[in-house]
Amino acid sequence: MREPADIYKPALIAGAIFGTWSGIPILNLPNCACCSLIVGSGVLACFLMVRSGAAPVTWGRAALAGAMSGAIAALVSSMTGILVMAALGRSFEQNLQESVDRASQMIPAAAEAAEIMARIPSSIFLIATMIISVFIDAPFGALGGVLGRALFEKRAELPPTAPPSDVMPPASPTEGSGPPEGGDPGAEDSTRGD
Amino acid sequence: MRTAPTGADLRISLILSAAAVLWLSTALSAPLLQAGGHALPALLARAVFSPVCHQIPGRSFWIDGAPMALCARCTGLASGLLLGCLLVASRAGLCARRLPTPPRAFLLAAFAPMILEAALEQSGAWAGSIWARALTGTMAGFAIAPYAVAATRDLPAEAAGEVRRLSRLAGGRKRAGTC
Repeated sequence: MREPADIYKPALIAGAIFGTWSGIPILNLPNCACCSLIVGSGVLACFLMVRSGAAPVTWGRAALAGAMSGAIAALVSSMTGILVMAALGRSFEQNLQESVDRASQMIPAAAEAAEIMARIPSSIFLIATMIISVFIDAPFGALGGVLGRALFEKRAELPPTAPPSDVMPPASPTEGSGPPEGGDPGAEDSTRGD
Repeated sequence: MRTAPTGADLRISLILSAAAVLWLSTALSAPLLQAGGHALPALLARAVFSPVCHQIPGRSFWIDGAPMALCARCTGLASGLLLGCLLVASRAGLCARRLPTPPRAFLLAAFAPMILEAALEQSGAWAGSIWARALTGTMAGFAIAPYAVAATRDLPAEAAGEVRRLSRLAGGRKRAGTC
């Protein structure tokens, strides 16, 4: 049986490309439409996995690679944003003020909230934003991975690499005589042909 | 023997439905909290969605004199996902076997109206409407549901397999280092 496709390299490449794109002002506008760029990183990660020619990519593996690329993209995007801000000579406080001004158009308490946020040190605020964006972007990346699997994987699906513990066969009294790891590939016929 | 446990699809689709309900109700809570005079919680609810949605007031549904925290298209996507997951749940409840995922053409057909609508709107060929955005978003969200259920079902096993593979690799390197 062929080894399952590597998820780390595709996730790293896709996350780096789309993370850099997401961190550049104006160019990152597609992200306003349901995190399109982050979803795109998941799609690209899955495409690279399918193209690597290893075993067919399962739905779970595609989601895992997508989630990883989304998380990487979130980190790269935050770092690119900081670099771009520094290159443009803008401070973090200026950016925050702009965001507050935009929010004030919708909700009158934005200025009050800004006062509270101003008490938080910028470095802590940046790190917190980065962590939150990882948790938000990972599911969107996973969604991209799933879409990529639906679009690009044309081969029949293999069972997931590790069986869930609640369906493992009972331990055999004779050591080493149990069924081989991975189980019977024919048991998953209902998922084939998609 | 390795078959998907009976009821796994039902369980997963219900969990995803609950997540979609939570997502939608948080978006809905922002204008309601604002109308009730709870400005800071309302702002927090909007802040949750600000990284994923533009939240332009003119492109959002208004409730009690304030826009929702998600635009009409994102609201449609989440509503469609909810509907799709409920449909998958009802099918999974009737069928003990693992549900097959629909063909690629289904996904493309469901996304085409949303992409076309957005392209026409951006090019200026059509002014667009909030209901068109919501409806096309709902179609796309609905189409995602069966794939999302399949991925969530396989994800724990894949993640466990990956952890085992990594620990095997690390163990092999350690052994090679001691020899």
